[in-house]
Amino acid sequence: MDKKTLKTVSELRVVKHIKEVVASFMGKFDAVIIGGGPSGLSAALSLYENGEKSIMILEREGRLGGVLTSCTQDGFGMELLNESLSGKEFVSRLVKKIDECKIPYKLNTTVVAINKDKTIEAVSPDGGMMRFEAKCIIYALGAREKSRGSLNIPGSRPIEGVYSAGSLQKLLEEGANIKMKDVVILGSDDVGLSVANRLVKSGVTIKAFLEPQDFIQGSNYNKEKSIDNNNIELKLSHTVSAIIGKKKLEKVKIRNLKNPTEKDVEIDVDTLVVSVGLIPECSLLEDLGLSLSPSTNGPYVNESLESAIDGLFVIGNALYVHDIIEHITEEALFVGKLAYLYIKSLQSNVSTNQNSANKNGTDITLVEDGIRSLVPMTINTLNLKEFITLTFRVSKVVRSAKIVVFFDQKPYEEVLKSPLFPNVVYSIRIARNDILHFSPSKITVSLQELN
Amino acid sequence: MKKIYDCIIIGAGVTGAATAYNLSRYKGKFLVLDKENDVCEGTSKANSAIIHAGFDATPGTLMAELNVKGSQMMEELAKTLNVPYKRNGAMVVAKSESERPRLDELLERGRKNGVRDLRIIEKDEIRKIEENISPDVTLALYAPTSAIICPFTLTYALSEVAAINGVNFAFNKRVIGIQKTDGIFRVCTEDQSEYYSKVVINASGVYADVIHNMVSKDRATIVPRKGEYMVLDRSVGNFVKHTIFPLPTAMGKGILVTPTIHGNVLLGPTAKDTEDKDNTETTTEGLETIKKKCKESMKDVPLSKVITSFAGLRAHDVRHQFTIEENKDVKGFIDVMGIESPGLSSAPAIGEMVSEIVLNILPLKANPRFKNERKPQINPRELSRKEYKKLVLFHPEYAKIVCRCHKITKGEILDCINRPVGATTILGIKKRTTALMGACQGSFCLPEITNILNEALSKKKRGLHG
Repeated sequence: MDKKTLKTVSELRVVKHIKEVVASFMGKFDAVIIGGGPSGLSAALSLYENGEKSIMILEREGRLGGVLTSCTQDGFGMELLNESLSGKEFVSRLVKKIDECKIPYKLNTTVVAINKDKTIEAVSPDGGMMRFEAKCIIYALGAREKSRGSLNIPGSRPIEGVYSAGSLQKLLEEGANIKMKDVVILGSDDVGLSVANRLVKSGVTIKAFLEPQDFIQGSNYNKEKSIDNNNIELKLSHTVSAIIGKKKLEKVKIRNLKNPTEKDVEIDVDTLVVSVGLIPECSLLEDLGLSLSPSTNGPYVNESLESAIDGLFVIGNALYVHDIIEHITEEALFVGKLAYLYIKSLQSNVSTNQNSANKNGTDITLVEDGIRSLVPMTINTLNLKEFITLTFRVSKVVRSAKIVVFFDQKPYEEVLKSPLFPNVVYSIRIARNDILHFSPSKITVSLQELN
Repeated sequence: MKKIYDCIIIGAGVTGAATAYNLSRYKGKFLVLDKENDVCEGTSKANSAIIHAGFDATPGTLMAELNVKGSQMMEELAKTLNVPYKRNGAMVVAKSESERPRLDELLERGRKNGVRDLRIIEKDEIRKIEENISPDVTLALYAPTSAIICPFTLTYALSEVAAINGVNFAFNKRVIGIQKTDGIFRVCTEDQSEYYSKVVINASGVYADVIHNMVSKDRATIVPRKGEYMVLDRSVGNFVKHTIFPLPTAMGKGILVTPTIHGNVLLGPTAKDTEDKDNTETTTEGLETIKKKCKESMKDVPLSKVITSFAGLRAHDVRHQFTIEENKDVKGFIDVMGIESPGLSSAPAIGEMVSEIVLNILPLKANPRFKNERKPQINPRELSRKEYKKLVLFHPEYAKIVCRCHKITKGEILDCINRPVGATTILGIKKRTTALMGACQGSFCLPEITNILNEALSKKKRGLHG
């Protein structure tokens, strides 16, 4: 082919491209779901099963499934499907269902802005710059890992050998050739536990598994699978106090936080895996002007898990960091239904729709007392279903305590729950009728320790 | 026949790069050697990224002269080479009337050095232009000509233009010996390569004494002075607008609080002399000092938003001076030594000065084909919608966002790999694009960037363009 023909061919390609871009530039949907991980996919299925057909899922990776696609640890789906699947298998079932239902999605598509009028701006190599219009948005962007940097561990910054647990999972899953022999894991959240399990199974020595707090962060199931079954010693109240090694990681220093007089122990390692927790990924919401709760690090939401913007729902780890996948899928099913009702209410335009409901119902504020991560933050009485479920965590291991729910100053319900662990998300249900009957302006969930 | 260069520059930091850039205006064979695998791997990559106005240096010294000159040249240079630069102004803050004479002294020094628009401001005016200043601050020296810059991009841009105009770069070349025979220098590197040159320029930062002592009887000593820093997330980027200095001490300009050109907040540096020329470890002590000291000039510093910490080494000459001269005993050997702060600010003037020294030794002719430009780095976040739409139509890789925190696209990453003196490592991509520098510190994008790099490098090897 001579140069001239070549040019014509490439020009033709460009013309074809322009057509595609124009066609996919604008899209109007009843519901746009941002994030194609377990929560986003479950919400899409829920919307679909409720009868909603105008759905679009936007996923920034090249495949659906989110973080679970690199998770080989089993224990997923036990409550929902009654069998124990790996994260990969679990999420592939969700993806299969999405395909069966022919719910549309766009891959490699990164949302760069959400606007107050619920238009969404996104980019992708296939579609270029895109703008979507939505009646309702479900924000399901998951969480990101806290980095080594944010921990301020002194020492050097070797280019090789320090990984966050999630990115290590992903690298391994993609077949990266990472040489590991002696590993230290810092942080016992679920990702850390499952990485530990995976590494032991592949013949790597875990020289130390450290948790700065005095309790395990991850779920008990993962702890059993990882720590107990492999006989790994988990050192609670221990942290990495220094990282040593210029190009490659060579050593770390370990500090006992319970005993400050004890000298730091230096050990030879080639890999440090940092797994010290997740933070809800809410940068798009912050850009939109929504403030985040210091307790959950996610946005403020009402009883429908709707943010301060009507019809913008937030679910999954973007809302708060959950403990087990079932809570995420359950929540997504719940919000899927509410979102469906919300869309319908806009269409029928009746006065009882959620949009105008706020004008009629009463807003109740929820207050934390000795607990953390209480969700939701407000309740509007008009939108209540039969029950409202409140979820929360405790900040430390509590051997003996009761949880008291106050309607204003008056105790409404006492629930004896002890011991309580920080790695578990607890929930309380309150009947709608009780709320309407007592009509409190404030509901406090209080942890009262017993001696 | 062996190739004889006109000039070998040892060190590809900002000083070496500025020298190479200036020399590439002339016809000649030039080579830059560096012991690391990339440009900008020493002091140039770990500093305060400030273009100092020039009130700190002692009047009459070379340091003062080059600081003020370099700082005045920088705006134009940054514009020409597409380097992110902003004149944000600086303040040296004081807490009582008793400290006023020290501010007056700085003001006087600055005026003598030729720094424009310096003045002393007081309480209300300080708070008006910098709302989060500590309530203890009552007086400040205000220097509106102080600026912030991206030191990485500056060094890359200078190197790139030098390379476009014919300068060669060789990496992983640690110089272990230099001999001069029959007017020609033989430069030996650790990997057993040998290079020959008429002139050798020693721009090797903290190692400048080691290189100098290879040829000169007159011993030099460069003490690495470690500075530790902490970086705050862009979400608190509005916390500070100016570069806020405490009063300077014998050890340096003190712990400053400054915005960076990329929208972060930078706290630091500490100042501690070390012996190890590669010791860039952060320490508990250093990080604690930063936390404590930054609160003296600013109130409610959002320390919970720290995303990373790092340390760099200043090439501190025990005499605290810039030495830029042809060696008296060994003709053709040019030292560029002791380039500590304000070295970055002075870099354009240093480059010019060194090339003038070279011209006195070698009769180089002007390079008629010299091109003082490089292809701009496209920043999709600064384009209008229309421009962006057009860009991604022809270059869809600019619509694939890889770094979530800073929204860096695959197109930008490929571009930085495929440029002259392009990135060959993850760290190289990080410094050239700011991918991996955000709040997640790479936990999301490291796997993908690794893939892009490997793919692009193998394409480049096969002679294809990524």
